[in-house]
Amino acid sequence: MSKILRVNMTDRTAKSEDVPEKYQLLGGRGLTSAITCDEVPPTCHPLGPNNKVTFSTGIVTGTTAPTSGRISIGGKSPLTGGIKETNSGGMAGQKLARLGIKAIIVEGLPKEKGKFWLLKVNKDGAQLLPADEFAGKGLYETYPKLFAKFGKNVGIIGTGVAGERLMSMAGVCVNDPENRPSRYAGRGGMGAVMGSKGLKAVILDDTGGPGVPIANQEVFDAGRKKLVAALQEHALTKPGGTLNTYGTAALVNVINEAGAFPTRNFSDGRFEGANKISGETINETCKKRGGVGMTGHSCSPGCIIKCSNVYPKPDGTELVSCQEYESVWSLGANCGIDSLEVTGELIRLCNNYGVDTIEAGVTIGVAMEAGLAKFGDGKKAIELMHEIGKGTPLGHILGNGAAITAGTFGVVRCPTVKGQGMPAYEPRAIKGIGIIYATSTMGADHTSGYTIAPEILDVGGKVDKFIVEKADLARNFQYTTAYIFDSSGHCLFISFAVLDISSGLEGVVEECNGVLGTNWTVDDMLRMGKEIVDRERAFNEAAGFTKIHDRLPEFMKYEKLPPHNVVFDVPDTELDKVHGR
Amino acid sequence: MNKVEVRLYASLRKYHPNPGSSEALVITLDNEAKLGDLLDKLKLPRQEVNLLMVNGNWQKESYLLQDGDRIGFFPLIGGG
Repeated sequence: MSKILRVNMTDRTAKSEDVPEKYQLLGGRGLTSAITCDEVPPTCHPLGPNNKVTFSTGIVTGTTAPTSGRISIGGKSPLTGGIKETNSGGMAGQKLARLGIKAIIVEGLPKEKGKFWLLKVNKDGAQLLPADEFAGKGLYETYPKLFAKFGKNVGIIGTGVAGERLMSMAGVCVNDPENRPSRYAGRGGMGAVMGSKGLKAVILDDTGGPGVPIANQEVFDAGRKKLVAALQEHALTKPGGTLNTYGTAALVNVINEAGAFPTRNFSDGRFEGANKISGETINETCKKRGGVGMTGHSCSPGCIIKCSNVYPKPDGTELVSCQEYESVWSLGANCGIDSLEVTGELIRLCNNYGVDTIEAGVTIGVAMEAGLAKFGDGKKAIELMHEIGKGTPLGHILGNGAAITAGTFGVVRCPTVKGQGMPAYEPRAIKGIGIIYATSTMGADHTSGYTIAPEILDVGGKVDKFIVEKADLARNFQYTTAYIFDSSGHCLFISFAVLDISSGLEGVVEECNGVLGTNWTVDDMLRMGKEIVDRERAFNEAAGFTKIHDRLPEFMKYEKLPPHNVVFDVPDTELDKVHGR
Repeated sequence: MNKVEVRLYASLRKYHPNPGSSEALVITLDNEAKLGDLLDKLKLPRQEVNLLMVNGNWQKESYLLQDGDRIGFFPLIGGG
């Protein structure tokens, strides 16, 4: 029987609890959000004693299901002031699941301010150990020390100096298969919630763990087979396919060509330097420089898509893993920077200080607009990142994200929703993703409903990007995502294959039925996705959000975006239709 | 005659006259030329071309090319 591990930072206790019946069929986001709704007062201060941070694995995580190593981290967000679930690949999800733990709930504040702790979990139980020697340093220094102490086979979920300093762009870092501090549940400042609790890192040693019980092996195996076949067949996800060859940055050129690639703080939809930071250029550079450079790197064991990369310096040694689409956009085009050497260095600094690359890039874009640096000035962008790392007063302003930075410097063009920086798709040029940004429970978040697939990529249907009547599309994508991807434990990228190949989607459902012993259909999963979103919306409403918060920033309604010269013209009534307000 | 600017992306770059190049091609076609004619001229296999973009919008092969069009051809692309 799986357990819930409850850790109290005030009296430094950890106890194992049975999983209540109401949580038994939940996983990932479904579980973190249910626990947050049940246990966290919506009006609490995100960094105060009443917030909690919950770590949960997906339903099939820890089994042999392909591409399913996700871990979800949830609580109340210091960035948005609403509910948050952010998830990551890496090594932690599967280890937590194989320890027989469905969720870790961390609550309370430490009695002594400024002290940090490690939560060590193995088959025999959990204990809190002093972490002072690991605090105050970059994660490229800290992680190797933790592996030296606890062994190279542990999973680590940690926070960096940004989290220790309670900055709301602080992400939660998970080690990759080579133990880099490089996979992030980045969004929403959950690293700062860890920091507020004095929790430097969770160390997971699954040696001798019970593993994940499977109620019906035959059903699970049949489902797994269907999903593997779909992933190996689809041109995007198959070995040697687009994601495997070019990584997620394969999107740079297509979104740029579509005139929807936010450039220089969302002032243009095309970036003249796009090709220089594209997946094609990453692939070529890895081949040309050789050494450790590679595409087709996997961020967690058992992934058959393998969309990650290791980007080499000119001499073939490692600059960073990973140059993702979102990161090369936010720290590249959005700052007017057209160099993978610079984006690589900035990503490395984000990994080192423990911040979300999206929020960091959107913030630097705003800072550039404020005149703190010129667009395109990579050297200055790197200096601004160091301010965050050093914790200077300017670093604290930047480290609290794009909205705080814009407010501090009087920047009107502030691309955020509910305080969270927008990802790499211009909502003026792609209306459906704008509706997602506006109406997601998470703030501006493309992973809440990836309508880019039908709006731009011709995957899972084909819908014109300029059509504004997309409330139904946005609603369905949000429900599908909440359960089928964010709760099953699968990576969102399986969606490309399962949206086009229906047997793949059936496979996901059968895998879950196999693990849980249920008899669900795809419709049941959509119903549960709706339940998750409804619950999250109720939390946000109780926290003070109204339909007025389900809006994009005003400048997008009157500033025309080149090259299509369009504004965000989705009527408010259409936005309100998504959740039936 | 119409002059158009064409860019090939991802795996389609192997069909660039200078294979692998990211350089935009400037191509001159007669006034009745359609997008499909351009695919033929560049010897792009139909089954490998998934997205045909003209000035940032999807178009079909039957689209009548205009002077100054910016064209992008893509295989199936995804990411995030």
